Amino acid sequence: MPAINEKKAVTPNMMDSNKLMQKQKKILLSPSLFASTILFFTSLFLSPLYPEEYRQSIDEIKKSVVQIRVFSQAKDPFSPWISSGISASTGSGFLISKNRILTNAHVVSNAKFMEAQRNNQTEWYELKVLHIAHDCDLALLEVSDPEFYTDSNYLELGNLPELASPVDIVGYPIGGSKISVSRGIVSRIEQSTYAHSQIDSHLVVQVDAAINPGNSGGPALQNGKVVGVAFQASTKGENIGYIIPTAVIQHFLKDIEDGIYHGYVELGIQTQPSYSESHRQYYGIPNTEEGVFVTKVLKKGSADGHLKPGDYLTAIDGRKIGKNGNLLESNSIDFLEVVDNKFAGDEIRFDLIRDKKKINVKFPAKKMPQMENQRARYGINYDYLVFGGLVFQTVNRDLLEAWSKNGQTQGGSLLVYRFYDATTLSDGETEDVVLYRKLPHPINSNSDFYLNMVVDSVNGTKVKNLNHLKDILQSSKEKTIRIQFYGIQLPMILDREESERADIEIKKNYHLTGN
Amino acid sequence: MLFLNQKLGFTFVFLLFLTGSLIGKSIPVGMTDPSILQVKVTVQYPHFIQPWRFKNPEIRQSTGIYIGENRILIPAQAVYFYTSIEIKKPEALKVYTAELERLDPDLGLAILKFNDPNASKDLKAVIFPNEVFLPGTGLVMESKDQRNLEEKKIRMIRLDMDAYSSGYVELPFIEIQSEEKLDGVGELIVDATARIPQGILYQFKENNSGRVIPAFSIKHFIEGKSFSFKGFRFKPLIDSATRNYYGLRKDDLGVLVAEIYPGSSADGVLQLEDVLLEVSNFKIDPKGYFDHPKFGKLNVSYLFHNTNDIDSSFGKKIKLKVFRNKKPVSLELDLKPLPDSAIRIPYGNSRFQTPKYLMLAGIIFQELSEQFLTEHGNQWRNRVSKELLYLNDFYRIKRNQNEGRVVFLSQVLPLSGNKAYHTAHQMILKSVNGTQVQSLEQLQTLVKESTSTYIHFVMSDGFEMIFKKEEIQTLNLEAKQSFQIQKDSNF
Repeated sequence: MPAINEKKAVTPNMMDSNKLMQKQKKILLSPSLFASTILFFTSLFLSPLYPEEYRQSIDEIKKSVVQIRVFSQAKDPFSPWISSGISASTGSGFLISKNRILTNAHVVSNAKFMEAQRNNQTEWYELKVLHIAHDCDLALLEVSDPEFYTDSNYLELGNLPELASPVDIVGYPIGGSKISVSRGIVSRIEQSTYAHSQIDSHLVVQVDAAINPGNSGGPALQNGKVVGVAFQASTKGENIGYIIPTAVIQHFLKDIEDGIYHGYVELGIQTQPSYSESHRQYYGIPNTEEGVFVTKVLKKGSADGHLKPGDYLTAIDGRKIGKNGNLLESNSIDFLEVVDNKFAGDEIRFDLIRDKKKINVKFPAKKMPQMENQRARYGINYDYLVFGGLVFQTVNRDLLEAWSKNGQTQGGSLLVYRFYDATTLSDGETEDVVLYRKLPHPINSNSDFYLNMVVDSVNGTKVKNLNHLKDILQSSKEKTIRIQFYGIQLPMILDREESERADIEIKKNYHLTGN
Repeated sequence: MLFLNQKLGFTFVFLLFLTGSLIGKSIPVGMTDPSILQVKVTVQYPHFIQPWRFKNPEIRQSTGIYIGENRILIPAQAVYFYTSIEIKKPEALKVYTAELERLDPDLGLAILKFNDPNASKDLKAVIFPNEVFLPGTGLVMESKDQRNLEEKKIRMIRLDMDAYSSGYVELPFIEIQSEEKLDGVGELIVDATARIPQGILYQFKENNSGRVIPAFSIKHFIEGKSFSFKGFRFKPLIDSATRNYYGLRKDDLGVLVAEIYPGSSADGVLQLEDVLLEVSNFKIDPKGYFDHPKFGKLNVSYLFHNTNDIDSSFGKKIKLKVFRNKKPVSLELDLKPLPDSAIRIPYGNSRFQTPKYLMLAGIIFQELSEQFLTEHGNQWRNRVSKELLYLNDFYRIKRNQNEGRVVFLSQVLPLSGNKAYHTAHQMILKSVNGTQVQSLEQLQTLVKESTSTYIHFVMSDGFEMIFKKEEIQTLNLEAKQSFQIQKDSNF
């Protein structure tokens, strides 16, 4: 009955008024209780703690919040030899130590030049990125000019806010140069996808306050402490914003302690709930045990070689798992959240039932290489290969999005399928390479049939990745190059010398530089 | 005025006599011939996503051509899943009923038969000849509402080959153009001068171009003959690198065999990567065309699929010359119709096939068809499972005889007994109790005849569903009652 639960959360003191009166009468009749009640209320009136602290903190908060101006330039994944235009944008950030500024990764992605300004400052100060974490949308910045930090203050990190508690979102939304504070109520805490990378899922706090462009990177505060970083808004509902909670911020800060950002680890399994009695009996699961079934173990994930399909996971690090995959202790947090909080090398322990026997399995957490191409990526040069005017690239999210914007989707279901199912199709070692466009030249006029197809092999050698394809083509001494694509029975035939000759002309005509 | 009309009439009859003698049996269709009929068909399409249901009935209007012996020719599209057929003669109020006699999905035509044997009284049969006059002008004869026959002009441009909307076999069509708006629902096309039937209009687009089924194909169909299929697909061979690789020295010959359908005419005769040089002694150019003495450049498929008596391949052995492993080889190919067993994922509309389903424990299993996917609306390519879409694009035809149909879990009817699996949909079924599943029939048998306590389903992504055998019947019973489904399966 979720509707009733929600109502209780907002109005927790609603009781029968008659009973309440009688209860108060009883309290007042007791002399000691009566005296203490009087004392309590007197102290309350004498020391209005919260409003004063809050009023003081607003000035301190102003000293710690930063407006960020960014000039960025991205690479076009569809034409990886071309840089896009230069664009300007603004965001917010805040000081979390004497000279460190925390903001969102998306505020400073693809930045070529960045500057920052604090409240009441007239000067803009040049910024540089110290660490950027696209998988959790956070970045740590620094201004090298010490003047920037004069009369500054930094904010402390608080805890996860309570449901229905108020939070203040502070920042510089919609390009205004004056600081803005908007208040919202925490309406939900859950695991959700971070829009910046489009694939990573971590804890988020949903608030019913508008988070507008420019707000991003600003602090969400409760009692003067940071409870999150404002980072994205709902596209469906109005006035619904999301903040990155402190657990994720702390994970980021701990990760960079050694000076390098390593990123999140992945368990690399697929599971299904265990509501079905027959399903449980088939695997010999006792009625008393709750947990989830493993359906797939992904190659190169942490669990690869340690867990098996059919395993019944009952506890992670000693914390019991429910039939729905949530931790039993809270029943609102997915057991994967436990892995999310770990770092590479940390141990993951599972209690599980395998072949009707209870066993324990432990293995180190690690990153999964095939996740990289699933993520939206920023600030990188896309590697590509032009051979006979045919353009090859590693299948990745940026390319797929650019490809679909260009309307080049003809026959592309192979590409889309292999991308979306890459975590299950991939062996974690090889990467798909796609022939996604051609730079027209008489030599490739007959190649349209193979556009948007994924390369399988070249002259009988299985292609592992783009660099491998480059190596094969460069080192081949054979006159004819025979490229086999997935799903197509006929190979593409190219003449090596002709293609290489044409490339010189093509690169000149189409103004290709690099590669 | 009267005199003038009489004189014109005489000239007309004389011309008819002359052209009639030239082309044998062809009979001109007069302006007022009562052979063009209005056909109203009520259809009720099956629901591919919920295959136990049918959609609301719809009415389809088309033109019917009387072809004698109480029979009417009509586009097949109009009669798929019909529930009632009403036929009206021009200028008459009485409505006749008819039943479907025969249908060919590749040609897209059907023959109806009047229920009332007297219905064809006063009707004059249209005879389709073996000849078409190309290029030339034609007249579209249509009968609309209560009005008389109307005629509109068209230009018949050329003959070409293509698969029709629900067809697998590339068949000849006449490309036409017209300044006037046409429906393309089976109107009769006659030659403008001699008024000899030329074909039936089956498609007309907004760019003022359309397609006509040529008279000789219609004649072939009316005579009760089937349409053969060459059983392979080819790829043009126009770049020098590929030509050199296959050892071709001349620049002007040959296409590459790219796909061979198992059990078809080409199976066991042609091989992948054969270069097809000649068919029936016609040289094939690198784009797949040959020079036809009358129709000009024509796609090589014509030499396998044409139904024109003069150069029909029907019942004949086709002589082929191919280049295999860099050596010339002479072959002979017997033409057969496309075997249904070669089709893995039915293409186009359903060709009168009601979608099959099998319910097990309140879970619906189906066989993948393109119609199932297209039922998801205009944006169907974005909406459906990416794996199903990929299979539909790349694996419509089996690559070997051992490949089966794609059996998938389309949806779970939510019951408390299957609640562990409520989120499952559009998942490919890999195996049941360890046996790979290749058809719904096989799945039904596997479950029915299983002696084990449990039925263990495994999907292609590893998702599992396990039921006790007796649970399956109980849950089916509950699903049928709860969701008003009549049967566990419909095959």
